[in-house]
Amino acid sequence: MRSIIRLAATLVLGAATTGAIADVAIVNFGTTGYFYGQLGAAATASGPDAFIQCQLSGASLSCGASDQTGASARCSTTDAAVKNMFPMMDKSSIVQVFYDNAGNCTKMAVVNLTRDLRLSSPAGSIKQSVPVSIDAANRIARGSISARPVSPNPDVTHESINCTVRGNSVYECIAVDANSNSVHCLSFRSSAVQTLADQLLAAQAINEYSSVSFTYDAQQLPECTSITVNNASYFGP
Amino acid sequence: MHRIVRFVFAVVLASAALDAASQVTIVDNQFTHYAQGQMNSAAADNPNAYLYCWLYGNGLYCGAADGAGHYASCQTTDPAHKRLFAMIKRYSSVRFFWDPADSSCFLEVTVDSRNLRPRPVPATSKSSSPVFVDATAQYAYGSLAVKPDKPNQDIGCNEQSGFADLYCIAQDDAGNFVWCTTSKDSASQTLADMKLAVAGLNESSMLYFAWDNDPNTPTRTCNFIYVFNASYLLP
Repeated sequence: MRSIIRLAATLVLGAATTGAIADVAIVNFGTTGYFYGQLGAAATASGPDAFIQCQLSGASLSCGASDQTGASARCSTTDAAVKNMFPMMDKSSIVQVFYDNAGNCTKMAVVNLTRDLRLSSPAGSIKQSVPVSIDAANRIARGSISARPVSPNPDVTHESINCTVRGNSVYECIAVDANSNSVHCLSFRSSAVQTLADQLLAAQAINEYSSVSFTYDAQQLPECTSITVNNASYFGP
Repeated sequence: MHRIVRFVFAVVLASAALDAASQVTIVDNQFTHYAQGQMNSAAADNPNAYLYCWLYGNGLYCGAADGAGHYASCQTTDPAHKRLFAMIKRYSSVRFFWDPADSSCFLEVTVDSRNLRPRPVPATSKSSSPVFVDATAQYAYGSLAVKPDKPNQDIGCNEQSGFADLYCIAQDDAGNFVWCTTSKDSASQTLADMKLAVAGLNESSMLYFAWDNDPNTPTRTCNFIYVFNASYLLP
């Protein structure tokens, strides 16, 4: 098992040192397997629906991929060592996720190399966006970072979503929808549904390929109670 | 140590090409001391403004210049602050407060959907460092976003959860290729700090790594990894 994992790692590293990897690959070894791809270049001209994504929700990191043939794989984990890799996942990173036959993500590797900065997805690639919305009744706000409407002057709309993480382990999130309704929450402790460590990890992983949702309580100055971040190639700008 | 000095010198040269502010704000008065800016538009109003943070040894160092003659910097070894290094990407806003008594940092990093369409920055505000490899002295460095006309150049690292934790490679313009790997502390840097440095790698990065040869194995063991993220290194 260990040698197979090492082999798989060598495959990606070998490819990374000889040429850029542009598409999603899914490889099965029977009882185990792996997939890899890049947020910024998962889809190709021959596989416009290919994608790769990872989402941290609650205490669980789940990752999935679909290649240009439509084959897919997914896994999840609560292993802190794997979850800690999540903030490294960026536009041009090669992300490789190993999984077992029980659907557990067992390892994650992230590669950042010069040559991978030059990749991009072609026109026609799968794209999704989540406009910023605020559900005041259920106290949840969501939106994808890149969903803001295109405008010659971006400041004509106030729609936005953002999160700030501070070095004293405090974070805050703000959402403003297209009608200028807004919500602002802050947290410095675990809630009943998510630990502070997982909340911070999720917030630290936000990038331009993220869809973010956060929940908050009913206080006058709301406290964030959970944050879910889904980094997916199809949420890109 | 001289090789690190050389690398730092390269960084200084890269930043010296920028003598000038705007999206960068520095407030230093009797009430507060902070600097803030956005990586991808630090130089939008003034080509000499810049913002950087680097993970060196066991410390995180941040600095900013507004291009109007004001400069601020801070440093910290607090793990909670160092963990934010991986969040500092091209669309991030960074604000750091410093304590005038000891220059210690209080760091905040924001990712905001509003920052994805920054105003353009002038080409003169940009810089990069070619990939440099010295296999004899056992170190290499360079900016990830090298010039497009240097297709042979490559530098970067791989981090894995679990086995063989870190792996770094560099190839210069002449095709000289070096690599190192590690899964343990070195005499000069802990594995945890090396991993924090690698976690911060992105297109705004300049990477330095050094290695030694383990006499018992053919493995080149990384013993120092240094990542410098700066607004002016963005492509």
